[in-house]
Amino acid sequence: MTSRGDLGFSSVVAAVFTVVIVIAALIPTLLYTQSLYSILSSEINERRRFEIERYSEKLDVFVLQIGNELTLKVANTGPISLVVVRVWAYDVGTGATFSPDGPCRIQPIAINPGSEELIDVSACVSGYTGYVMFKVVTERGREFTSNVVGLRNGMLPLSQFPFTLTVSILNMHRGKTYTVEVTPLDDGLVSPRTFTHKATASNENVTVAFGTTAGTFNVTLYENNRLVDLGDSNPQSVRVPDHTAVVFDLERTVITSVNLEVTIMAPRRVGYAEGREVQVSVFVRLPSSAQEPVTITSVQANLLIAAGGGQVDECSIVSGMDLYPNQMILVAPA
Amino acid sequence: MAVAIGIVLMLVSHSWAASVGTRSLDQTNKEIAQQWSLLLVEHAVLSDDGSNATVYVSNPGKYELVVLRCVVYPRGAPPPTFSFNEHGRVPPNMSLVVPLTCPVYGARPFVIELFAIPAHLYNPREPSTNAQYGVTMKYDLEG
Repeated sequence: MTSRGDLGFSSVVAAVFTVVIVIAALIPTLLYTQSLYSILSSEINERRRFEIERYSEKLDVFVLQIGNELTLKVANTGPISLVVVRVWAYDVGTGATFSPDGPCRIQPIAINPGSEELIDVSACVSGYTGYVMFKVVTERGREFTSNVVGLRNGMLPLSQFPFTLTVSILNMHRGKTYTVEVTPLDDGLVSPRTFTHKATASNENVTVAFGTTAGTFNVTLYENNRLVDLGDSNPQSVRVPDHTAVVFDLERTVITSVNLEVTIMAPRRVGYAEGREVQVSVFVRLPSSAQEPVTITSVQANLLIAAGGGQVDECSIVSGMDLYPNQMILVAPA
Repeated sequence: MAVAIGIVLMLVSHSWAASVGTRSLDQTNKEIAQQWSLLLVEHAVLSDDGSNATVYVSNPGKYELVVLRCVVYPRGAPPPTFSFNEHGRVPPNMSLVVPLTCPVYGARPFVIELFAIPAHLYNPREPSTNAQYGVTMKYDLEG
């Protein structure tokens, strides 16, 4: 027979064994889950480090002509080493690659920080004429592009400035001096950097040309050395060769031409007598409808003739003065 | 009797522990695979008639990816809907650039949308299985 004391003891032992069995299963499970979590954390950290390294990569890509070879100069300006795995060359207009398989070069090239490598890409664009861009892809999955370059028969043209940026200034104010300044915003080059023009007529238009390489430029217009307020239109930022023309329209009112009113002051009637002198004065008046003053640049004296046997002995003319609307001046006292 | 119950209890608890461990391992593997699912569009060019685009992709991640969706459509427009279809497999570590032919809808400016899933999570019979561990990438198509 089993006593009550033995039964109680067995229950306690059974309960202890049950707890031991459960704990024996639970603890390894918890430890295992913990180790998985730590593996996941480690992978997340590694992934984060990869992303930081990826965005630390920095490459400058230049296109050079060295002898007969078209060469990419790839400079690692970032803080970490990287590996260039592919080089692409494609037409800027269509996006078409020159190699049927896609990339034009697939040999990996390791570049240390501060170092640079020269990559011969002549074969990629052999004989091609047009605008081309080169793209370099790294092992961490970054892409770096060159500037757009114009090629002739697969080579860079001899000119240092293969592109022309034209700047037009419309409706200039007569007598004012206009200066166009072209400033590179990246590694583009421009020549000349400034151009100055003095408007000699109202609403005069002028177009000037600047030689540039590919790049982004700020184009600014000054009037008498002060920035012209054209809102967002001045200064203008342009990316060559995507855009090669800039227009500054000063939006002045178009000046309508008017005729000068000529007034001749002379005696109404002159009796003929040999040796008698008569004085005639010629005035001009600018009509009040004129929109701006004018300058009398010359007066043709030979237009004044004396009919009926008289002769013009002396005709002095005056020129070079400004004439304002509704103003009358003497131009020819004869 | 008590010993028998104990053995049963031990088996039950161990099988539960094994099941939890397996599920945790599976989940962890999937999440790690998703972390390292990266896809890079190296270049893209439209066909002459504009009906499709060749999209060159590579994989800087650690696992091979299966591209299940590749479509080119107008930027800002809702993406066209169609079922998953295996466009190509992209090996890891940037070892290869893979050209994909993708349909083009609408007019410029275009955006390229890609959906890829780690190859070991891809079930060809049920492509939508594990789709939650896939990654979607969008790239502006220049030009």
